[in-house]
Formats: sequence, structure tokens, C-alpha cells
Amino acid sequence: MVANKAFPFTAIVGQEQMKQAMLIAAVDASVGGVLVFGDRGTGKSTAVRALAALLPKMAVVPGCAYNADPQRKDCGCDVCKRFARSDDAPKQAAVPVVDMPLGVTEDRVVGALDLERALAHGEKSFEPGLLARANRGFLYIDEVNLLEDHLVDLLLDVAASGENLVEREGLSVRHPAKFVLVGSGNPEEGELRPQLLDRFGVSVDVKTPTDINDRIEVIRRRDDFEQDPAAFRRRWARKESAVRKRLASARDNIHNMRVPDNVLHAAATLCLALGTDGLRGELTLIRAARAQAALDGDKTVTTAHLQAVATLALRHRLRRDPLDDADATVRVERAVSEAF
Amino acid sequence: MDGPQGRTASEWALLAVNVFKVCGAAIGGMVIRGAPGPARDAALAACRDSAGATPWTRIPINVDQDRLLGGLDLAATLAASKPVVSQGLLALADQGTVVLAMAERQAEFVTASLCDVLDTHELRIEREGLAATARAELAVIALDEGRDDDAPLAIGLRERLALTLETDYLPADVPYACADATAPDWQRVTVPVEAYTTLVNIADQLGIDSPRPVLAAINIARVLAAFEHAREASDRHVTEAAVLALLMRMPGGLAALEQTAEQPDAAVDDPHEEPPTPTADPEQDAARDPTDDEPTASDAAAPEKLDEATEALLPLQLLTQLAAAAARQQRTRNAGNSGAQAKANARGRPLASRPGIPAAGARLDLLATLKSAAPWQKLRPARSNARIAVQKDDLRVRRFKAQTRSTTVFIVDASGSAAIQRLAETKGAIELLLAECYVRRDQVALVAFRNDSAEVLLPATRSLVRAKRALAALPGGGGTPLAHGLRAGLELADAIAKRGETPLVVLLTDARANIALDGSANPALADEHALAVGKEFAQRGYQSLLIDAGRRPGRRCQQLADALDARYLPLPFADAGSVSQAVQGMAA
Repeated sequence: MVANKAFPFTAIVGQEQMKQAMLIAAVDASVGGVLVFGDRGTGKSTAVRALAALLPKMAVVPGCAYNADPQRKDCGCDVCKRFARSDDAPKQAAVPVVDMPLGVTEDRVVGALDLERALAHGEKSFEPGLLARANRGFLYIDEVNLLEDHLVDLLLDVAASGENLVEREGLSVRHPAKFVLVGSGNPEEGELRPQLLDRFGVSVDVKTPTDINDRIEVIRRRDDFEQDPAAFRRRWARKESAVRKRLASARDNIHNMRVPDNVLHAAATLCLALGTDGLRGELTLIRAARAQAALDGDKTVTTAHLQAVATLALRHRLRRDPLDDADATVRVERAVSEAF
Repeated sequence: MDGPQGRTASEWALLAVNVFKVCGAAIGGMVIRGAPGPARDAALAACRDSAGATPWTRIPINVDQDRLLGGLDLAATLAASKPVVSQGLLALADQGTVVLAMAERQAEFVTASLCDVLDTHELRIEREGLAATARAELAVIALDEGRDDDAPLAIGLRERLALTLETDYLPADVPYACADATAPDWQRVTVPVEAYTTLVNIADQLGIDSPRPVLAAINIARVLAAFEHAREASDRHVTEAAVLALLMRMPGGLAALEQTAEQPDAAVDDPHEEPPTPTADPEQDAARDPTDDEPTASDAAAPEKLDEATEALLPLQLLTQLAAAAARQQRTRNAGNSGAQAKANARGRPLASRPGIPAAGARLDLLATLKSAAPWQKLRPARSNARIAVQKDDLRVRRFKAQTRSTTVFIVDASGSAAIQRLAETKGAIELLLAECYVRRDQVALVAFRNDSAEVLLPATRSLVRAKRALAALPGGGGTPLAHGLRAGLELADAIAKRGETPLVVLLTDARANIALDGSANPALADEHALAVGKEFAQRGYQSLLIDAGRRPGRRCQQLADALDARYLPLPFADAGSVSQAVQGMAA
């Protein structure tokens, strides 16, 4: 993905929830994936592709196919072992945002036998796939509802475990694959199975802006951008760098964030009131609230942060009667207003 | 040429083609809607550049993913003994034009890949051990042959293609043959700020929500200005761009525009009824009626002000009528998911390849074949001409575990006889089934019959949103045209079976047929017809279930069930639970 070709993240008109969800996931990957569902032409892909430009660079082991972190030594590939013995300096690299192309085959996702080496030298070696490339970054799937089921299952499994286990073609490889899964799609083309829905950390329902002025602004900015992308990005550079700073400091502070008992209590109450299954709801809610607090520059998580992320973290987890007309967002908002 | 009003349909078509030739790739391309014929051929030929220098690639309906996106090149890989990419059709079409035949029936992966290429201008592949990126700046011409009742062109692709020609409304002899127009430096033409407002307002009136068509309209306005060597797009250019990119997008849009131009004062009648539609199908018209009274979003929208020049060419009234007609059509059609023709062992979850000879249906898995050959290379005598020795034993063919997806077709009696009292209960039962289908990821379809006809309320879909809407709008009352309902259900089930899926038929009725197939109110004949159509279900071997919705379970239903070879389930009390149990039993 070429970040410098992207439309600036801050120049996206409206769609605050979507932007908020992406920033939260960028601050704390443990929140889980982001699911963006909604109308066409609302900037879903644009936002993901723009996110890459905002992410601060990270230190990687040079030459490691898995973008391994030099500090953690969790990779175990030959390059990393050699690096650990040497005193080479780590390399600064952009956070990968891997765009999963349509028609991708399973062997390219998980990695497979390196055919060239096998043919030419009769050697058995592993050729890493997209999951390796996405380690410590983002994996974006447009039209996630069009992806074959078995691939979606696979991705969610790896995303949850943070590790890719390859047991195929006589290979047995294990490598770190910690990434934030970002899926987008249009519900008119078929919905995601409910079992998959709640594996995503936060979900956003995007709608076409109803305000005519917003729509005019969307067109104007987009047209400006296409006329002269470089000049457009220069105009937005200051706003972009403000968000970049905010994101960087949030990532630094997230680990020192205090979560008081009353917030934990409020989160549990809210989930109970909404009848969400399992503990994943509470956990995501707390993590998202913590990321939100870090983004806001606060030191302590409050119920206000909880309220700000409740819809994002819970709206896809309601045990729902699929035919119930009440919108999930509305139900969460109602529960929030009752709980606080 | 004085003003925009002066243009005839032919002139608009010529203009659209000229715009396409100048900036096709920048605005996505064009949809040519209409039956194959001289008018379509002429339009298509006109879009091709006269020198024939740029690639012109036709994508047939049966294109496979390897060929479209690219894959491992068999011959070259063997010769070079290392993986060699064979370029896909989309990469080969770089800087040229892709013509998508039968666009409305193309599989999802084709339309979705095109959308991706149009957005990113490159083709990325991650397939079969290959990772590659190729430049693919191209324009798409989608040939949409869909009639009223067919699935429309995938929405995603539709909104990315800016121009539309409806050849059914065009004379066959449009004078495309004039000299190619040139638009030097059209990208540098400035567009006044008000143009954005005008175009967004027009799009809003037409019910076009996506910003993509509007952005394309702006670029078209630039090209139109450049045709006349203007530095800035005038109001007229913007209005003409709105006609090309927005109005002509609406079904029957251009014909309606011509009408208003001819008689500017007369009130425009429903533009959709006026032009001679290729399928003047009375059933289709009747099918639209029940939805007529529903307010559409654009009816409710307050008229925004359009400036005078625009108003003169595009009367507000025309816009709202077109929007209403399109919304109506949209509701009776199946969105997006067009005829992906699932072939056995061609799709689904890939299983491990097995040794075998590639023959009809079974495709060679090159990767697996090479892998199985690789370890033996040192042992096998090297032949002079081949770098790799592959023996018959090494051949592997692909296997897929086809998803046995089933589609439940509900045929619901919404007539005024006993069933009407139970329509609400019936709806309850269906809702429960829908919820289960949703969890299983099955598809559902819904046919209702009443008065003197049957109507496909919902073509096979997995979208719950649509199912919910269709069900809520199910009206009741009138005669019992049982045979019509069965026939419509049968056609639907046939279509599903043709796609390689399994139809399950659930018929809810009291079997008191009183409208015969010829429309006469003759109960005896109606019964006879119903039984005759019912037998066809049995002949085709469709699994079916008849739920007797009468107050008292009767012999007539039993008879019908026998004809259908259906399981019979009397339902004296509304009990959604047992209905869903019965359907699940059937699917098992």
C-alpha cells in the first residue's frame, strides 16, 4: 500500500464514528478488529487506506519477513536469530496496512511452500503469506461479506490467537501474526454470520450524509484531491500531523491508564442490561474506553469514555432477533442513557 | 447548436461516446443497456478508438478467475522451472477498454475485481504462490442486457461507471461516424464552486446517494468545456454533464427528457410507462402496483432550488418522477448478487488436491503437481527439452467442497379466503424461518399470490433487510390464484436449481383455488390447473412442504400435497415452532 497516494484521513467529511473506531483500533490493537458496514461511497476504503499515513513508524528487525519487533524476540525466524547475535541497528519501518485483494487464495494468505526453491533446488522452505506481512499492522478486507467463508474463519482465528500456524505440504511453521482486522462491506449484498460479527472488536454502521452541504463538501474535497493530490495533502498536512501526534501520545500512554472500579462496574452493568453473550463485550468495552481516554489525553478512564465507545463496542453483540426492527444502535443508546 | 434543449437522443448519445473516448478511464466507463442489436453494436463500435491502438478486451460470461486476474503460467513455469505469472485479462487491458459481456449476469468476483481495479488503477494478485501488482488503468463498458425482471448490474460497478446509453431508446443509425472530438487539457478546466451545489442537488432529486456519479459529472463538465476550448466550465456544461452522468443513468431518463423537451408545458406523465419498454409484461406492471403508494425518499425531499438554466433543461418534476420509477424498479429486482453460475466442483472450500487426470470438470492444480514432481527431479533422467520431468503420477487435480447451499422458496397464499385470517400467523411463522435461514446462511425467496396473479416479492436473497421489507409489505385479500402462485414458485425454484443450489419449497395455503390460469373465476378449472402445476414440482424432484392454513384441515390440501409429492402439515393452530421444525426436517 502506498501511503502517500492516499486521501488524507482528516479530510474525510463527517463519519466521525468510523474515524473514531479506526483510531481506537490504532491505539490499542487488542481491542480487536473493526467492522465497517454501510452505504456505498461513504469513504470506507478511503478511511482505511488513509489510516496508514497516520501511523507512527515502528522498529523492525531488518529483513525479517514478519516485521518482528527487535525488543520482543518472539519471531524465531533465521533472520531474527542472526540479528539477535549481531549488533545491527533495528530499522524504522511504516506500519503495514495490507490490503487483501479479491480472489486471494489460501496459500497466499497463510503462506506456503516456496515453489521456486522447491523446483530449482529441491529445498523445502516456507514462503510467508499476507498474514506475515500484516504482522504488527492492519489487514484490510473490502467486501468482507464476499470473501469465502473458510478464509474469513481462518483470518478471525489467527487474529484472535495472534499467531499463524502453518501445517501443510510437509511444512510446520509458526510465526507471530498480530494484526488488526478491518472489514468493510455492504449489508444489501448479504450479511455476515452472527458468529463472525462478535469476533470483531468494534463495529460501525456508516450512512450517506443526509445534509446536502456535507455532500457538497464531500464532492468538493474529493474533486480538489483528484485535481492535485500533492497540493491537497499539503493543505491538510497540519491537521494530519495533529492527529498523528495525538495518536502517538495515546499509544505511549495507554499502558499507564488507570481503570477505576466504578468504570468496571458500569461496563458490567451495561452489558448485563443489553444481554450480550460472554465476556468479550465487557472486555472490548473497557479496552475501547481506555483507548478513547488515551486519545483524549486523560490519565483515568471515566464513564464518559465508556459512553463514547459503548455503541461502537456493543452494537453488533446484542443477542438479536434478526427481524426486530429496532436498530441496534438505538438499543445501545437507550441502555446507555438508562445506565448512566 | 443553440442551447441544450436542442439536442436529440442521437446527439446525446454521440456526446456520451465522445466524452467516453476522451476520458473513459477517468470516469470509469459506460453502461450500454439494451438488447443486443444494431443500435448496441453501433454504440460499441463508436466507443472503440478509430486507430485501434489501445487494448480492447472482451470479458466473456464464463471467464475464470485465473484468466481474469492472472495466475501461474503452465508452459512458462515448466520451461523456466520457476514460477512465471501469466497476465490476467485485466492487466492486459491496461490503458485500454474492457468490454464486459452480459454484465448483469457476471459472477461477483468479476464485478468486484473490476470495481477494485477502477478504484486503485492497479491489479494486485496474491494467488497460487504468486504475488504481483500490475498497472491497470482502464475504462469499462458493461453490456447490460437485463430486462425488467432480471437481476440488475451489480450496484458497485453500476455506480462507478459514469455514462449510460439505453440503446432501446436510440435509433439504430445514430451518426457516430463524425470526426473524433478532442478535448485538450481537459483536466485543467476549472469548475465554478456553484457547480458542486447544482450537481449534488440534482443527484439528490434523483435519489442518487453515492458521491461517485457526481464526481464523474464534474469531470464530464470539464471535458465538455474543453471540447469548446473553454477554460472554465459554464452552467450549460454543468447541466449537460448532469444529463450525461446523472439523468441518463435513470432507466428511461433520456426518453423522458426528450418528451419534456418536445412539449415543455405539458405535464410529464409517468416517464416509465410512456416509452415502449421491450418487455411490455402485464404481470410485471401489476406487480408494481402494490408498492406504488409507498412514499419514496425523493418524494419526501423538499424541492431544492436549482438555478434557472438547469431548471429549464431538467424540470424538478421530471427528476422526482424518475427517482420514483427507479426506486419502484429496484424493489422488484434482486440487488447486486447477479447470476453467479455455481458449477459443481469449481467453487467452494478448496480441499487437498488429489492425484488424477485433468479432464472435463476437473482442473489441473499446477502448484500441487509441481510440488509432487519436485522431490523426484534428481532421480528422474533429465530430458533435453524439458527442465522439469513431470510424470503422469504427479498430476493433481483440484477439488472443492461445494457448499450445498439451499434456498427456501415460500409460496404464500395471501388471498381473501380462509388464509387471510391467518396471514398474520403465517407471517409470524415465516419470520421465524427467516431467522433460522439467516443463521444457517441459507437464502430465502418469497412468492405471494392473491387476486388474479402471483408476485415474486423477494427473489432469492440472504439479505435480511430486504426479506423483512418484503414481508412487511405483503398485502392480503382477493381471489385465490393457486396455480399462478405455484407457477411463479416453480420458475423461481428452477432458477435456483440452475444456479446449482437446492430449492426447498414451502407452500402455505388452504388450497381453495378459485382463479384458473386463464384468469377465469372457475373453481373446478382452478383446482385442475393447480394440481397440474403441482405435479411439475414432483417431476423435478423438489423437496416440498405443504402447510394447510385452512381452519379445518381438508381433503383438498391432502390432494394437492400428493400432487406435489410434498410433506403435508395441517396447522389448525398457528404454531411457528412446528413449522420451522418441519422445514428443518425437510432440509436434513
